[in-house]
Amino acid sequence: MNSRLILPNILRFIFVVLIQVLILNQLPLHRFISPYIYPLFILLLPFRTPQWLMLVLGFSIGTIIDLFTHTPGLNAAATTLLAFIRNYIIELYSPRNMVSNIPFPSLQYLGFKFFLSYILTCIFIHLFVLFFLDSFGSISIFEILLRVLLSTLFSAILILLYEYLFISQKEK
Amino acid sequence: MRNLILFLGKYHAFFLFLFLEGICFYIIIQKNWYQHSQFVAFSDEMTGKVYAGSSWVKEFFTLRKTNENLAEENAKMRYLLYGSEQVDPNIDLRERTFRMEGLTYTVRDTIRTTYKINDTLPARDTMYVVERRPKYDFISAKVINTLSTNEENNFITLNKGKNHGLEKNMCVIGDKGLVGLITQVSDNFSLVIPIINSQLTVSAKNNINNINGSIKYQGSDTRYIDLTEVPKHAAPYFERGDTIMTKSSSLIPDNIPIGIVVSSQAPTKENFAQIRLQLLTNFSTMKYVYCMKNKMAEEQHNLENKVLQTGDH
Repeated sequence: MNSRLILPNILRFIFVVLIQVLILNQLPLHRFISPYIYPLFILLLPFRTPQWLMLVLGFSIGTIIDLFTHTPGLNAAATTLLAFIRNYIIELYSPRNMVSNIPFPSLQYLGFKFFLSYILTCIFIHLFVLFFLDSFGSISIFEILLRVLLSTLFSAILILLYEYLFISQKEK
Repeated sequence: MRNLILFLGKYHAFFLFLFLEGICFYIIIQKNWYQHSQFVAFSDEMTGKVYAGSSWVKEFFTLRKTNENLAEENAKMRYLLYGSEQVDPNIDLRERTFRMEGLTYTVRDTIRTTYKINDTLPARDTMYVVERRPKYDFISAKVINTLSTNEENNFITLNKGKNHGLEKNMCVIGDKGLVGLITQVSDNFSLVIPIINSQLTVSAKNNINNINGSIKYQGSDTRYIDLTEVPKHAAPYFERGDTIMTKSSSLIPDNIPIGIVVSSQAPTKENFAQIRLQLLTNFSTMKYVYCMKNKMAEEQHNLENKVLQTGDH
């Protein structure tokens, strides 16, 4: 059971990092819109992942992104926080006993509404921390919020796209 | 003691979380103090290799366009090299102007010429021996990545470094105009701070009337840049279509084209003119650049340091 979930997660780790640094970070979009897909790796980790491992993975993926974008510590800080609060956010939205029956939080297991509110909350917190630390008080809070909101929307669309591609592959 | 271990065991995730966040914040604060140069030097070699691989794939899709650009550039180089061969005693070769593709290029200083009169010949048929001594070496390099942390702070990674003779503070130009300065060098890669980074300011002047200003990127559109610090009364001297060139400074040579004036206004409320340039360098498609190695940099620095050390002259 556990070993069956390890390989897909390793592949997903590599896949989302490459998509993030080679495609999304290079897109010439408006400065208020910066789409992020790599937090998806943390969001889709199995429920039975020990929490210490989840934190270490969050820290690692953030650090790897930081190496590519020359923003030491920023993505690592935001992603570690995301890894820490992830399970609490799921508990916030989930009905009792639901979580224990499914291996990991994905669109096909949680349903559209639950999954969407889960990723929107997580990405919003992640991007807010990221952009806030990045600006360090040099930009007004409204501008940060606008950036966070627009980027959250775009990231959520990307993540849903990723999930739909993934489900259709599984059903085949 | 046992209780303490139990306590730590129960909340181990929370303590690990605090520990990891502590590391992150330590790194972030370090970045502000040391401009993360250590971090960049450590990671450049590693990430540079991945970018080099991805750039290798991308190249296949742009080969045709790149070839066209290179051929065009070769032609331009030949023109500059052989096109100026006719030696006319009435023209001072130290300052010559070429007009190509609607732009005016002035070759000045980069070619030092000395005239020698061959005295065995009669004065009327004086022969001029032109000795060319270029001040700069050009090292070509490939752009393997363009990073932007946020829209105002862009960086460019090149596929050459210390091993190929690149050094910090070398000026980088593209096929059409100024690109930026080298800010970090590792063994095989280097990082360029381009003019489309709000941290870099470069002295510039109008090619036609030599009025000075400085260019500064304000972070909106990488095709345009602003010319700042031009007094308001000078705004009419910047007309649409004027070419803006670099003004010689300790790092940047004279007369490298930067951009073309798009609009020039004198706002009533401010003291400075608002002048907008369209950049000659297209940062989103740029593939090859040339790093200018100043052969006389050492001599110049030694001389300038003498003044700085003695305090007065």
